[in-house]
Amino acid sequence: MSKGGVQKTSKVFLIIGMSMLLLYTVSLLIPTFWAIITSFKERLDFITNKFGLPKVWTFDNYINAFDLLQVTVYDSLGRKDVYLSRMFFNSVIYALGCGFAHTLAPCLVSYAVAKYKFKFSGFIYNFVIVAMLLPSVGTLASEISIVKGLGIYDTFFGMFIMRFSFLGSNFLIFYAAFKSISWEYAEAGLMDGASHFKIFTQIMLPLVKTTFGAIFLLSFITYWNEYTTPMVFLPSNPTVAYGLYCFRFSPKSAITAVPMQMTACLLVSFPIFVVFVIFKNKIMGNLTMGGLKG
Amino acid sequence: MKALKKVLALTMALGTALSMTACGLGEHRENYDPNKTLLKVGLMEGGIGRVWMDEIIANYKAKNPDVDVEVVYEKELYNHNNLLTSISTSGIDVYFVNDIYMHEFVAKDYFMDITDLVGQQYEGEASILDRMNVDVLKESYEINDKYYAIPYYMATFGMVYDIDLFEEKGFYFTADGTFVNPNSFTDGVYTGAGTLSAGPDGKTGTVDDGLPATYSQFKSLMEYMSLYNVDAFTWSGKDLYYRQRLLAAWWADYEGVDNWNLNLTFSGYDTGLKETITPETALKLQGQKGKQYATQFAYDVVRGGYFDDAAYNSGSQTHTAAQDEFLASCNTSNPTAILAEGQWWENEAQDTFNGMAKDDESLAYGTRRFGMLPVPKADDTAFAGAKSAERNTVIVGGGRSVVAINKKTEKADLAKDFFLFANSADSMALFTKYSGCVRPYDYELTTEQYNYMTPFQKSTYDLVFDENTDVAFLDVMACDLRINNTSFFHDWMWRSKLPQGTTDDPLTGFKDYSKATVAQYIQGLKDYYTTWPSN
Amino acid sequence: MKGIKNGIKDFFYDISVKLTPKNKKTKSHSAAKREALIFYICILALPILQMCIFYIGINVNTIKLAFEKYNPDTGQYVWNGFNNFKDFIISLSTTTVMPYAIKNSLKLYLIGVFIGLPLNLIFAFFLYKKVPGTGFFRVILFLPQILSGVVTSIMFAYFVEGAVPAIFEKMGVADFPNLLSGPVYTFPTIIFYCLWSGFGSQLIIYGTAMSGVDESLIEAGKLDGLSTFGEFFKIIVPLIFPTITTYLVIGIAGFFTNQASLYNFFGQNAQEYTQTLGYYLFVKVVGSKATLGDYPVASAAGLIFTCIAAPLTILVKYLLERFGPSVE
Repeated sequence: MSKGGVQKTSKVFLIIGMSMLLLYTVSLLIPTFWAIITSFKERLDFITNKFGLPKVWTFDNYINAFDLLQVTVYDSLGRKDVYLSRMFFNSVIYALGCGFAHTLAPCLVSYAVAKYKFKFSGFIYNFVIVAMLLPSVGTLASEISIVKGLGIYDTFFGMFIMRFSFLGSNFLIFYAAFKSISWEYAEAGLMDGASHFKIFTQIMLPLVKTTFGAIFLLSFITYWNEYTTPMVFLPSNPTVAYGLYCFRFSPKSAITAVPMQMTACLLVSFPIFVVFVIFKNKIMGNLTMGGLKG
Repeated sequence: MKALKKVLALTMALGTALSMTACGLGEHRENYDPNKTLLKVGLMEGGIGRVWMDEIIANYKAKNPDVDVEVVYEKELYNHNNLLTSISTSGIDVYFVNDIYMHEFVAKDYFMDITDLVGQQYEGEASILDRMNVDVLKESYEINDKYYAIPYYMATFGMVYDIDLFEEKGFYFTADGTFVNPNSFTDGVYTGAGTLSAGPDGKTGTVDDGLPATYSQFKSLMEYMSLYNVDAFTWSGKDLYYRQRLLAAWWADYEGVDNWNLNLTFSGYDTGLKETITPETALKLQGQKGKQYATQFAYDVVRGGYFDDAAYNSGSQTHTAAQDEFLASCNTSNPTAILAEGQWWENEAQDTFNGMAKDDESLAYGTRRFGMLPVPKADDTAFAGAKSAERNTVIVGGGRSVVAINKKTEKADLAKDFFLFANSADSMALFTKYSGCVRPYDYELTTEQYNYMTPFQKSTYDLVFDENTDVAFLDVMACDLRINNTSFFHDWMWRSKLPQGTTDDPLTGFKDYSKATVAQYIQGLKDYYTTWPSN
Repeated sequence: MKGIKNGIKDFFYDISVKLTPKNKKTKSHSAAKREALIFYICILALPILQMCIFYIGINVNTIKLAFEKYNPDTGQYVWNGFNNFKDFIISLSTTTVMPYAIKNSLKLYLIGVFIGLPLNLIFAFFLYKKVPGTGFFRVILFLPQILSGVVTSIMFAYFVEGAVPAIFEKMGVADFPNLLSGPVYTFPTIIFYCLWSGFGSQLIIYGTAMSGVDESLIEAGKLDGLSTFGEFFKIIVPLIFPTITTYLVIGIAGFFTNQASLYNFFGQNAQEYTQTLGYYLFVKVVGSKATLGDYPVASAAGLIFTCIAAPLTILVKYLLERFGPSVE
């Protein structure tokens, strides 16, 4: 089906499309290549030669990064040095769990609000909007006391609970997605005696699979790159993002030198890059929707 | 392609798992001897470094074999807000941190009362309180007649100049007022024709001989430098405080320490303005001629182009990048002569020194010579506060730095003992030996310790402790109005409402607005503050 | 947990059906409604609970703070009535940064809506139509989101401040200005940066929405002689309009909170002419100049913004749904 579409797509369109995309690609790849080249430069070389090729190509930055990108954590048991591999592991758990929680909660609530016309739904919808506009100022102290009071401070599970919030733009995106699905699907199912729960899990959820996947991917990446919250609430298990943050503000000028910073950033971004390359088709999908006919 | 991706993912997962198991699940725990009492010290890690603390601790452990000490080095986590959040549960016993607002910590009862501690003698030495030698500090650290913290460090700030470059290009004045010939120094001694001028202190045979003594000399020096394709100045484009401190050095030297201190205490008589200043009328201080002097200097630098272009890279020129530029520029055709920096800068830039030394040993840390360029005296000698013309006033930071004991400590006696040890004269000497910075107390260095320092560190040490020098603190909480309105007063010294727009420092303001004048800037300092806090 | 609960409900329902005589298909209306209600409650239970604890519980604090003042002597917050609001409104006219912040926030927002959003739509459409190299372009367009904001802003800053003048110098143009400094160039450059590094999340969402469009509609359009451009304007855009609406609605909140990566570039010392409202509030609370005394006025400011933005948002949503192209 799609092959036929491409053949009939106008040539003008293709040319314009390709040129715009290429232009943007070039504008993005040049600084990216610069970043990569810089990561292979010696520090002094960079000071006097910011944009040329390295006088000496060196892997030192990468080798040293593994040593230096280690974080020292002080917890109740004493001092602990956490290495890159462990931080990587922490990041994966953190991003997966938080991403999933942050995707699931709005999915559940927006479904209820979009499809079930109780008065409460309207209230929730407006509440979400107001909540998005209300800035959270000076709430850190109360957050800490609540989290400690519940006994979930410094645990991964605690972080997942904190992230199980339906507030935010994800709610609106799911809402739009669910709104555009006709209720006829559900009617058919209800008539056959299926429970609401079955309708949700077996009919509706699959229909928003790509949206769910897209939001999850975006959340995963956000949480992978986030360091402010884990810094405060999960101090014993630092993530690579926190390692990067320590790197950025390190007092040692060898670490804050630009070649080293580029190295660290590239190292930290590489896993996400791989994940994205693997899953990009699933997310920006080419799934067809044939629900009503089937 | 799919298979490749799967292989890639698998490899990454495996690699992680393997490297984790190799290093004990990716973590390594430092275990301290359970038979010893463990003391935890928190140290703010900055340009000052940590070598001095390590040695003090080694000495302490040698003296107290049943004690072990763990040091926590943090930077961002020890800024004011983060520390406020973490101190009550951190388990740290003694803190050494840079600028915080101590009063908030005291109000929340986070610091232990150490009034007795600072008054008591330690091993035959005078007490900490007696050795504190800056009055305005002594007063500001006293809260409700008690002491909860003492000052941690003191570091001067100013114009760091490249002595080797100056000698090579001949950037010195002879007694006749002409420039010396290039390369007329051997081993730091002038071997050219005539003698060097007396310099700002007016005495020959001192370390500032040949340096510009008056403002017009300074200006002509900057012009002369540009003829040689030398940029006079560079600074950090990104860090506002470096530019502000550079100008504060000029301002303080003109006014002298007594008039300068009015900006901290808001009470007293200003000999320049010939007015009594009170907290309600403190806005008048914007009219101090010293500030105008500094602004004029900024104006001339900007309009004359006597700076390296990178200094204005506000997105990318951090203070360490500025150091690197300054150091590396000596090998280029467009060197930079002066860097606006603090006493700790060589410590911070050690890696760059080491890197450059690999190719050329004369550029190594401790071998290359730098000095602090004294602020020239203003041309107008009619200044009523004539005392400032004879004295050397240097600007220093650290007026809000803190050494304190955590109220929640569970080892109070040990913490107090360590506190006294780490703030004894001997420990302070170690501090200076390794960091090059000083502490606002009386103490002395041994010859060996003194010689350990680099030429720059030695010269600034001499400068700060010279009997002719007065020390002017950049920021001290010495006035209730300022304590109660820390936000308001954070930028009040330099924020100006120019007709063209508002700016936070003259160096940027004059660059952004090509039509701005000095008079407009000074007027703008007052215009910005249409309301003034009342209590 | 939820699954178990619903499973139990399901089980009981089955039993109740078996026990009830008569036709399943003529279930009474109220029974059906009750059933829907039970499901509704179950699905909402945990998220609402979480919200009560973590959102309401914590954000009551913000509202409370807006009416308080910090007392430096006791370290506590005390009641201050409406003074914070008054102070903030007065400062609007006296603080020199406000006119800039408002203007800049407005510029940022409008460019985001009238240039950024269409660009995202267009690029998403190209990818949807599978121009050659789609897989490759998808990765490229998303690259700025993958590399953290730190990397892209460092890259951009070095380029703009270092490489660009050098390149122009080689081409014979001396004294090319530093695009990230000065009142004339800085903010436009920042806006460009936001657009340039901002493809990604919108792209994915639009792409997902587009892929959900029924192929048969496209086929029908082609049979009617619709060109590719027509396909875009007459079919795709109307069908994914709810998603676009979502972004426009979200964007209104963004007007007040977008700090345009300024902190990444300039730390807390961004010049006044380049600040936005979001940045101003952010620095008031997070910067190292911030003390406990700053939180109350920042809270008050936030509340005022909310009171302006909330009705605006609802209004925009209503207008878009009423007057936007409909699915028909």
